Amino acid sequence: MERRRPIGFSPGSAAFAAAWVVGLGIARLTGSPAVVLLLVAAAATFAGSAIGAWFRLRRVVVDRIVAPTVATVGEDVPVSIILSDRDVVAAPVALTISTPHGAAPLARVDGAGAGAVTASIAFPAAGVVDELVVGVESAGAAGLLWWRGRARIAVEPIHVAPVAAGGLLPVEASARRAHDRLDRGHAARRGPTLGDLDGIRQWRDGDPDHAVHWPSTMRAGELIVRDRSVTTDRRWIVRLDRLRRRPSADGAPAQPSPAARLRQTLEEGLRRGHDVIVDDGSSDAGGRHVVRSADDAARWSALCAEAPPPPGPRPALHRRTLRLGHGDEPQTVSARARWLTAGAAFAAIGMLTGALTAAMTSYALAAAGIVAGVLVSVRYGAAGRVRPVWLRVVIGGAALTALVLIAADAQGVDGLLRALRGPLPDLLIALVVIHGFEATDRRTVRVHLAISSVVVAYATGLRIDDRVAWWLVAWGALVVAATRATAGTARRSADRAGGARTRPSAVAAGRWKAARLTASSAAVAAATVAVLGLVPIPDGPANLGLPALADDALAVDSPGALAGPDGSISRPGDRGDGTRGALGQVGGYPGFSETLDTSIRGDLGDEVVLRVKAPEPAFWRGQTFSDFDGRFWTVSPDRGRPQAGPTIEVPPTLGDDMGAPTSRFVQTFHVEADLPNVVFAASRPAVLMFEGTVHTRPDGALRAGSTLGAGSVYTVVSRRVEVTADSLRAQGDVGEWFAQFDDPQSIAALAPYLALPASTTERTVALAGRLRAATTYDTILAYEGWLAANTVYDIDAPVPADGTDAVDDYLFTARRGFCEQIASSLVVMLRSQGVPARLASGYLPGERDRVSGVWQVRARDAHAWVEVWFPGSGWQPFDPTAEVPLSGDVEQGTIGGDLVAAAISTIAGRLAEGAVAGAALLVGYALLRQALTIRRRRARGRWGLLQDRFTTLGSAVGEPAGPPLTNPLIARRLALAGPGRDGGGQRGDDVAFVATALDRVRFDPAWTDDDAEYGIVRDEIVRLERSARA
Amino acid sequence: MDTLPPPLAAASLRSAGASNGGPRTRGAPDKSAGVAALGARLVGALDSVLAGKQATTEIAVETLFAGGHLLIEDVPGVGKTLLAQSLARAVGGTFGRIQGTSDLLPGDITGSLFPTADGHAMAFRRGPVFANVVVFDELNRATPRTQSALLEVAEESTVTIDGVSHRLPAPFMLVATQNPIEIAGTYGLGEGALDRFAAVVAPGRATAEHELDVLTGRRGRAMLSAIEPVTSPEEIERAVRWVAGVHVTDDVAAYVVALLAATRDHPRVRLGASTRGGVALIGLARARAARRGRTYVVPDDVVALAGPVLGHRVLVRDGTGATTAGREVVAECLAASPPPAV
Repeated sequence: MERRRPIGFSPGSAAFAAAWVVGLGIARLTGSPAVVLLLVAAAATFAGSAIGAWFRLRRVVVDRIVAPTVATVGEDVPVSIILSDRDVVAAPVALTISTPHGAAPLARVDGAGAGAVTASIAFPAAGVVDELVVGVESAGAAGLLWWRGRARIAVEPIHVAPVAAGGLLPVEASARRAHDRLDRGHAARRGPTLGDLDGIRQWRDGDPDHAVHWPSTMRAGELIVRDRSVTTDRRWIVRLDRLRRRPSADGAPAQPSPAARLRQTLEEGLRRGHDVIVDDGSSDAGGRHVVRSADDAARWSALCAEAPPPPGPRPALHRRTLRLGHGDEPQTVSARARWLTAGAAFAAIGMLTGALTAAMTSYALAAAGIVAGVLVSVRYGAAGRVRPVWLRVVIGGAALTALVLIAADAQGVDGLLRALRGPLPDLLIALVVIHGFEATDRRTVRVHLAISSVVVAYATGLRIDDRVAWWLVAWGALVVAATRATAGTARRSADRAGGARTRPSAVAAGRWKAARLTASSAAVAAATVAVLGLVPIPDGPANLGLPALADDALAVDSPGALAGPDGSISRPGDRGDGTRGALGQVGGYPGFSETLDTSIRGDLGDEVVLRVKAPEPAFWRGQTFSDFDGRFWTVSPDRGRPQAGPTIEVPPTLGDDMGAPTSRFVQTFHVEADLPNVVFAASRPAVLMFEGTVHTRPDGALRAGSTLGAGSVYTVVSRRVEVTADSLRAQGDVGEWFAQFDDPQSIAALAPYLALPASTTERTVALAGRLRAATTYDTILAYEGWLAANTVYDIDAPVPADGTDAVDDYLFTARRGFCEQIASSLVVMLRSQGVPARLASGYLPGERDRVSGVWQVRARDAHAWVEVWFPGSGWQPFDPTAEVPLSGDVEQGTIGGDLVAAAISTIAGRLAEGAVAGAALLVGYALLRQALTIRRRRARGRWGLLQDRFTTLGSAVGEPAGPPLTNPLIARRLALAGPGRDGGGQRGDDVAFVATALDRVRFDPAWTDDDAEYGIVRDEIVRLERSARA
Repeated sequence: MDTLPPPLAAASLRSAGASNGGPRTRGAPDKSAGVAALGARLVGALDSVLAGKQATTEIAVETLFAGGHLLIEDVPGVGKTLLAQSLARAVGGTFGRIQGTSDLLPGDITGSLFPTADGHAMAFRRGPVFANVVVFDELNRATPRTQSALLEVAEESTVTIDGVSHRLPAPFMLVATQNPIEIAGTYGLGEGALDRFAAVVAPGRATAEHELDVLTGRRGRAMLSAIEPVTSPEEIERAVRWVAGVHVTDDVAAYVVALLAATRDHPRVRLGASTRGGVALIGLARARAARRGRTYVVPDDVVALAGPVLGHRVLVRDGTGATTAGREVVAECLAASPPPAV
């Protein structure tokens, strides 16, 4: 191949590009890493398939062209292109043939792999063609981007003559040779006339050269035939030099060219039986050439035809642009491709309905619609098949009904989110199903796949569960398979017809195919991860996660009060009875009440309570507590003021707005279990998108007007100060700073965060003073270090006796405790050193699903931690037990990095399972192969297998273009082949015996199977194989 | 070469051979062996005259067994006529020889009516064509009219003169020779004429060693008179009947059909091989199988004979008239169509 370049896209490919752009929009809207992953993987797959076509072309070599040496302008002549295709994975290839000067191909045929491909071409202009350009086009297995490689192939000169036309050229006629070759003179005298009077009749119709002379025949009793064929009495000499000098007849196109007239003249001369001679004008005697046949005439005419016009500069546009809808490939789609496409659509709809938790009925309806679509499009997809009227009516009616139903359903929809979750997906599903009926050719099937990929992108953006990755893998595999099947042609006929002879190579091809598919998938996956390694995790959802309250949300009677998941209101100062009542249910964490008893730890399960779509981890804070009496924490009584959604500006609370630069941090909370009316948010919520009323409390907490039932969705935009260890350390000792601070109002406001409970013991304060470091940050680290070294985290820590200080008990007596006790201790120790601190309760970030980019928060992630006030950056959460990085220390990850981490953790976590699964896969594969081999052996029979082995032996000694390898020929070759064989008669006889035995199996009607003979033949073949290896 | 190998058959294969008899043990083997032996005798007899032309003589014998006619086409001096003559002698029976010239008339071949001695009646005098083996030298020197007459006679095996049919003796085989190079004063055979020949062979020049044999008189024309008939027309007749019964499976027949189709689809071909060509190919393949002691045709027979049998029936677009171009095309067709196997 001289040069390979892409030439155009297959019909329907543009739909993929459009779908990709739509996906980009969805990625922007949802900020879902999974959509970005989908987009990058799609792009990588496309790039891979484009390169695949390039590789495909590399393997095809045009060996030569067999063409007739004489042709006429405009008349079809057959041309054979002999290809060798070294590719065992034969994606379809198309061939174009053109002359070196012509831009447009003369013919385009499907190349069925190796061998001869015959095309019918008609040359557009006269002249001598000694070179043809063969363009080999392929779109690879995926069939999306077409590449063309050109090869200039020298051929035996093809004389393309113009059609004989126009008047005769002037000839030099001479009657020099009146040679009478008739065997009887009187017949010659009778001349050319034929008729009854002369007794001469034409021998047979259209044969004027022979005539029967009836009188002689009657006399002789035998057939007397007069031969009058060679009555050449004139000869014509055509002078070519005069022809060439003639001016081209004033350019009128209708005028027959001199070459056409030359051909006309020569043929006329031959027809009249003259000696036709061409004089090329050279002086010597060699300048005269006898024209013997019409082919000769055509050759001379072709030689005298004007040279083809020099190739003008082709328009740059034509040369460079990629055409859309390229390819005259057949547009038919196999049923297999159609079913695979339906599978992809089915997966897409499954993904979407799964995201919406839609009813099973709609899912089943969509499935039935897809199946019906495939059946109809396969049945009536072939060209010329028209759907009956009733079918069209049924389809149209069903489509109309679906649309009307969706429209009716959309009547009551007011919010955008409801539209996005209700009618819009329904519309998409209906569109996919309806389009399924129309997907009958390659273009529409590709469009169908593109529509299903939009659905998938949409569903991926919506979905927040951890099964997205598996759905994507399943759907992607189906799409790839469907695309390949759509581009494929029927199996190569050579594979079928070859039967026994091609069997071993077919097995090898299957192996190759599998290996190449694996390698290319791995390459695409690696490229995807590499690109994703450069793509940062999106900054979070922009708009799609709009607020919604679950239908079963319970309104809270008392405004601003805190209500449990069941709507029960907890009152300030309600310390309960010290038992674990009202606990053990999801969301029943004691931290979500007005009063927190540090001695009680809830029974918390593993259920997912929240899914938070956010790019980075953070504490999902629910409450802050300021007042501590040694055992109970109480929230401040100020309930703040109610604000109505959907967009709520949360005013900065005390000590929050310190003027430090902040960054936006968007989180969308999907409530998965019934929760109290506590609105969780990362620290310093600024904007809340919430459906309903929210009390924005001065202590930073948010309380909704109703409980948060499962299914509620809200978005929080937080403004976080990017703090790092260094920036905290730079703020020095807060206690000292506070001592020098002389703003009485601020001091008064912060006083509650410095108040120590009366029960605080001396040794607690002493310990705090002893561990105090130069900066508050280091102090906190020192406290945490001491706690880690001297106490034990124990969820079943004993409850301290009534009246004892919980902190003292934890620090010095029990030395066992859980997060509330640990955090309380830290708060007390910090307050004792003059550092404002408070307790916060809420959820830990949870576990990140790396594909969908969603934090899964479980009930057991409920937690209490410390917030310390820093003069420069405000309230800063610290946690002695859980490790949550400082907001400024979080490096912005990339999707690729996330994926790799997920893969590594998955593999590391499931090494044993993976090993078992891998082993099972291997065993399964081996069993499958064994089964296939056994089936093949059964089908082949034992003699057939011996024949295969013998053929393989023979192909080693065969010649590429030699005679076909029959068994006796193989035997002769093997007997003669190379030194090292024992040679001689005995050996030759043994091999010949094998050949005879194999031939008899199929061709001798008297053959019966015989074990002894089989054994001898097998032993001989084994011996031959052994010596061939040696 | 494809016959049962004696060493193996003798030792370990006795049981296998016995159990695999079929028709072979029910009287067939002696006959098939008879044909094989007859073929071997004939080839041996020819080989003693013609040096190093075993492939050609084998095809000649197979054509005889298939009841076809043979055209020997090659440059002068390679033993064309000698081959024809030795075949005729080896077969025994009657022998006719005609030299092709431009003034040869059909009547010179078939015979014609002559006045009887009393001058009142006409009697038919048989021409040289009434023989078991007729050698027609330089066929292309005879006029087309004579050629046609001869070939029609050969096809019909009957000469009809004055309303009376005279049957030619059986077996009847026409061996014609022609020189494709010399074209002055010749009348090239048309497609129809060529099609009547079952096979066309080109013996080619002898190797130096064999030429030495010829020059010293150990082989060649000097030995022609030494050939004794190794068989009789009756035996040949029986062999021809036996050959016609050799089994051809549908697979082999389908392979021949595929070959014919391939010659018709070949781009260089103006006119592909005819159905008669296919019939001749099967016939010769049968003869080859029988000559090799087989009761069935294998694809190898077809492959080996496709060139000689089909080459002259393929009209190549830019061919120069010789059958070499046709043979090339047939070889390409053979390479492109895989033969059947188990």
